[in-house]
Amino acid sequence: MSTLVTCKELTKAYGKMTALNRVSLEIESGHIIGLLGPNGSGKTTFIKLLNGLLTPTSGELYIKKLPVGIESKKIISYLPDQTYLNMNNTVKEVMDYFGAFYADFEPERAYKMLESLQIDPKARLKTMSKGTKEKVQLILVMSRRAELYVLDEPIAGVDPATRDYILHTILTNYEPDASVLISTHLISDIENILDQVIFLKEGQVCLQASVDDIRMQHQKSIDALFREVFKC
Amino acid sequence: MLGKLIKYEFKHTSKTIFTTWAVLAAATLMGSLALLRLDQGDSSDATFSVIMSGVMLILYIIALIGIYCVDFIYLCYHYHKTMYSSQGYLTHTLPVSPAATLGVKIFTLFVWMTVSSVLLSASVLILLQVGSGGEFFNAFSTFSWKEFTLSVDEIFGMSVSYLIFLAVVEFLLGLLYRILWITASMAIGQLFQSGRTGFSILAGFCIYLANQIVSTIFLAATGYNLNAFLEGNVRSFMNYVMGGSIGIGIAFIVLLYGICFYINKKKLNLE
Repeated sequence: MSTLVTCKELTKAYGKMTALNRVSLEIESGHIIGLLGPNGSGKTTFIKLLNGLLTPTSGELYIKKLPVGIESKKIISYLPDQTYLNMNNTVKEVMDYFGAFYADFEPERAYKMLESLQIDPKARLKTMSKGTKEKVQLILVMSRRAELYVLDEPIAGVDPATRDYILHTILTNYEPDASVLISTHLISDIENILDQVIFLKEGQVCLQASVDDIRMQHQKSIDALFREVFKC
Repeated sequence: MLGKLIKYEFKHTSKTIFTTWAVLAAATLMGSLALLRLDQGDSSDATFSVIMSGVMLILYIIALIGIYCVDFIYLCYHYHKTMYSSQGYLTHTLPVSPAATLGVKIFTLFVWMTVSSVLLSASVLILLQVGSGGEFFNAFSTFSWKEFTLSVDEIFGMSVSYLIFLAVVEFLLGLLYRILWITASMAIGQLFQSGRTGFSILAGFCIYLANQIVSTIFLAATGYNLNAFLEGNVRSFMNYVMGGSIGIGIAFIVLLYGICFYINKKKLNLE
C-alpha cells in the first residue's frame, strides 16, 4: 500500500465563504472510500481540487507526492456530477477521444461493457436517456487503468436498477491496488461496498475511519452514524 | 499531446464551419447568377429580372455578413462550452498543460476565422469578375505595376509590398485581438458565482473602453506627427500611425492572453 493523496491544511474559500477549512488527510491505495457529507459540506470542492479544477486558497495537496498537474491527471480517472461529454458525438467518437489522451484507457473493456448493456457505439449521446448517458460516462471512466478513481455523486438521480449496475461496474472494474473515492449522501446504497469513510462537515473532516472500525466501535451502520452526526 | 489537441479541436468544430462555407459557395453562385441575369436581361421581363437580381444580390450581401458572424459566434460559443461549461470538466482534466489547452483553442479560432475571411474575400472577387463581364482580372494584365508602385510610393511614402505587409499584419492582429477580447471577457465573467453572462459583457465593454482610451491617447500624440504629414513627409507619418497601431494591438493581445492564461490556470471556477 502506498499513499495516493496527501492534504495538509487544505483550504478553499470563495470570497468570504470557506468551502473547505484546513483539511488534512491521507488516502492510501487499495481502498474504496466514501466521501460523505450533507449538501454544501465541501465534497465537490475537495474533488475539484483533486482534479485541478480549482486552486487551493492555502495548504498543500499532493497526488503520489506530486502537486496537482499533468502527472496527477494521468493517474486520476474522474467522473463529475454532471454530463460532461459532447452530446453531438457518438459513443465511439468519445472513446477515441479518451483513447487519444489517456494512455491507460482500454477500449476493449469499454466495448465489452457497452455490449453487455446493449449500447450501440455508433449511437449519438444526445439520443440517449439520462440513465444511459450516465452509464456511458461511468464505462469510460472505469475503462481506464487509473490509480485513483474519483466519482462525484455517481448514483444520484438514477433508478435503483441503474444504481445497482453502477455499483457493480465500480466493483468489478478497478484494480486491487487502485483506490476509489466516491462522494455521495445516499449512504445506505453504497455502504456495503465501502471499506473507509471520510465525513465532511462544514468544510472540515469530522471523521476518517475504516468501516469495520466504525461498526465495531459504534455498533452502528454507516448510514445510522451519518444520521446521528449530521442530525439537523 | 499538442498535435492531438489541435486535431480534435479542428475535428469538433469543422462540421459547422464547413456547413457555413457550403452556404457561402451557394451564395456566391446565387450572386453570380443574379449579376449574369442583370447583364443579359431581355426586354420582355426586364423589370422583373432587375428586381429579382437586386433581391438576390441583397440576399448575397446578407449571407456574406451572416456567414462571418455565424462562424465567429459559433466558435466563441464552442470555446465557452468546452472551457467554462459542462464540457470544461473534461477539457481541464485532460493530462495537458493549461497553456496548451488555451493556446490550441485560440489558434483554432484564429485559423478558422482567417480562412473564413479569405474565402469571403474570394467570393467578393468572384462576383467582381462576373459583374465586370470577365474584365476584372483581365484588367490586371494590362495594368502598369511600375506606375502603380510609383504612385503608392508617392502617396504613402512606402513600397507596395511593405504597405500590403503592414495591412496583412494589421488584419491578423485585429482578428487575434477580437478573439482574445471575447475569450478574456468570458474568463473574467466566470470568476463570478452568478450573473456570469452580465459580468462577461461588462468585462468586454471595459476592455473595449481601455482599448479606445489608449488608441485616442495615441492619436492625440500623433497630432505632433501630423505636421510631418502636412509638410509632405508621408512616410514618417504612415510609419508612425501604422507602427503605433500595431504596437497597441500587440500590447493588448499580450495583456488579454495573460488574463486568459492566469484565470484558466489559477482561478478556474466551472459551473
